[in-house]
Amino acid sequence: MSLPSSSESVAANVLVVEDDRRVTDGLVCGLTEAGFSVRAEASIKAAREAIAEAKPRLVILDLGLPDGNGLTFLRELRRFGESLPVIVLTARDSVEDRVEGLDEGADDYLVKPFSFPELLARVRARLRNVRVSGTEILRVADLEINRLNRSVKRAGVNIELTSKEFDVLAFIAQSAGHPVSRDMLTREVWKLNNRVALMDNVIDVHISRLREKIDHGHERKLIRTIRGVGFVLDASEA
Amino acid sequence: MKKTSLQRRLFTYLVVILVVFILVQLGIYTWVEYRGWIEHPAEPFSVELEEVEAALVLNIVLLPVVLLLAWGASHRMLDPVRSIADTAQRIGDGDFDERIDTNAMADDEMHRLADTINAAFDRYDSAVQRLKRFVGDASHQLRTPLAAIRTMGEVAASRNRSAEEYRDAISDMLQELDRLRGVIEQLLALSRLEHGALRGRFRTINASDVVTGVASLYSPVCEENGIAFEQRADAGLQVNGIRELLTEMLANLVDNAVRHTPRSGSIRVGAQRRDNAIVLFVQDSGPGIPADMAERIFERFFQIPGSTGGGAGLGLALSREIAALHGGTLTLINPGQKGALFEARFPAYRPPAAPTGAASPDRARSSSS
Repeated sequence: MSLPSSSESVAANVLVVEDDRRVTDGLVCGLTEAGFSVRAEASIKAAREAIAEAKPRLVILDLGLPDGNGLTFLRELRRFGESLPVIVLTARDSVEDRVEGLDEGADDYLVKPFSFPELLARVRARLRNVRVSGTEILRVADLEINRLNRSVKRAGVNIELTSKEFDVLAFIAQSAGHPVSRDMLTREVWKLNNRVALMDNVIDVHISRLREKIDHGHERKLIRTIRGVGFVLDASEA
Repeated sequence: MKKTSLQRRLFTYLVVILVVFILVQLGIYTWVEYRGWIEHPAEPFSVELEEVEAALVLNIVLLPVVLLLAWGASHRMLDPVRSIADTAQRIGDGDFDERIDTNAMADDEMHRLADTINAAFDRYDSAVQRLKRFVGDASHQLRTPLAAIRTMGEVAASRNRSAEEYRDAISDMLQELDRLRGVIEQLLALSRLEHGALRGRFRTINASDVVTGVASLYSPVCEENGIAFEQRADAGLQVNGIRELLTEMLANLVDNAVRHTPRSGSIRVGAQRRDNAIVLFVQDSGPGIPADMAERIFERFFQIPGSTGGGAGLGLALSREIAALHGGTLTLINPGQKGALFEARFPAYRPPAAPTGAASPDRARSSSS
């Protein structure tokens, strides 16, 4: 994986400001594969130029940068009335930091080590700018998820799900072929902030029940586990 | 020579007092003689003068003795100070078993001082011991997953493999990485809890909400494992605290219970008022916890020998720390008995005015299944 050189005149729609090269490499590679054009900078000074030059549509900003605190830069961005969405990355996770980050105008806040699927989901959500609620009926192959009346059909047959099972399924379906990590499920479905290790049991049980109800008896298995990453609902693989 | 300066000062005070005392004595004698001579100038005063001289001589002869005694007394008075200083020095040099010997000391301020210092050393010592054990265990728990990740990566990268094999290797590494992250997160959580700064976020919360929250998480898990799950929370029990943390505490206990309860067993979770306390409890129908481990299970990284799976052994330590943050306690009620019963006790937020569903006395401590 190689960084796009900063002299390239591609209109980057995502700017990554992070000084750790490994993290940057991973982000650039992942985001590029997800279809974004990415520019990466390792300092506030360079980021300032990049914003003026490349007019990114979203910034992923690490807080610990060599030439200053990312929060100061964020404040600077906001003072000039930039409505540019900013997702803040940090290795510090105290509530105060989080509050401060959001106060300074961060649109979102991820604590290292975040999971890449989660970051990707947040980037998409920010760029889409509108909630996905527009689609009330999600379809994956012959599976139909109706979020309005919370019903699920597979091949036209109604499937009874518990409320949580429905939430899990709808959440995975909504990310449209992109994997959903356990962290994301914990936060978005169970609304728990810190994923305690023991949520694994709870999540596994829900997934295995969903499998039983959705995929059992069907040749095409829709719920797929990507070991070490998370779960994905897709029709691409049998 | 700092060690003697206090003694010298003490000695100097004694000597000054002595000299002043002798001078006053002399003054009085002189005054008396002078008055006698004024009133009866004719009378010879040789005899009385001799008396004065004798007294003076006696004083002068006794002076060295008195000085010696003063020196000895000041030395003796400072004995405990020297002993404290020496002991502190030895402890500072690394001999943590050393304590100030208070047996020979009188029951005075020095004794109290020595006791205070000894108690401080005791606390210091046990903290050091705990820290040592902790560092050892932590490095083990952090290095083991790291070693696994490294080995997997090295083996995977050492020769050409199919995409499938690479994916497998990466997945294994990710899972191990997750384990490592879990340990780190728990350690950070522990240090945050110890800090106590979280108290600023306390709210009045319902104990029954905590129980209900944990029940909704775990009743599907229990069902899946063929375990009967029973939930019993009295209404209107209020605790001052952080709901997420108390939920985590109770969830930890239930998670342990699930792991130690065989199929067709049962788990009971509940909240009730007992006297002025709110009790959150979890009881399983597993084999229970051996009596000699009743306290050790709360130590960081402790694992019951032979137990498989599970985490790094931080769950109960975290849970106890959460209880402590809330001014409560977490204990295993029935060590050595079947069906481990854990109880977390918290001060009730409100004085018991009219508790609904008064504490059911049927929940005896011996209850097990």
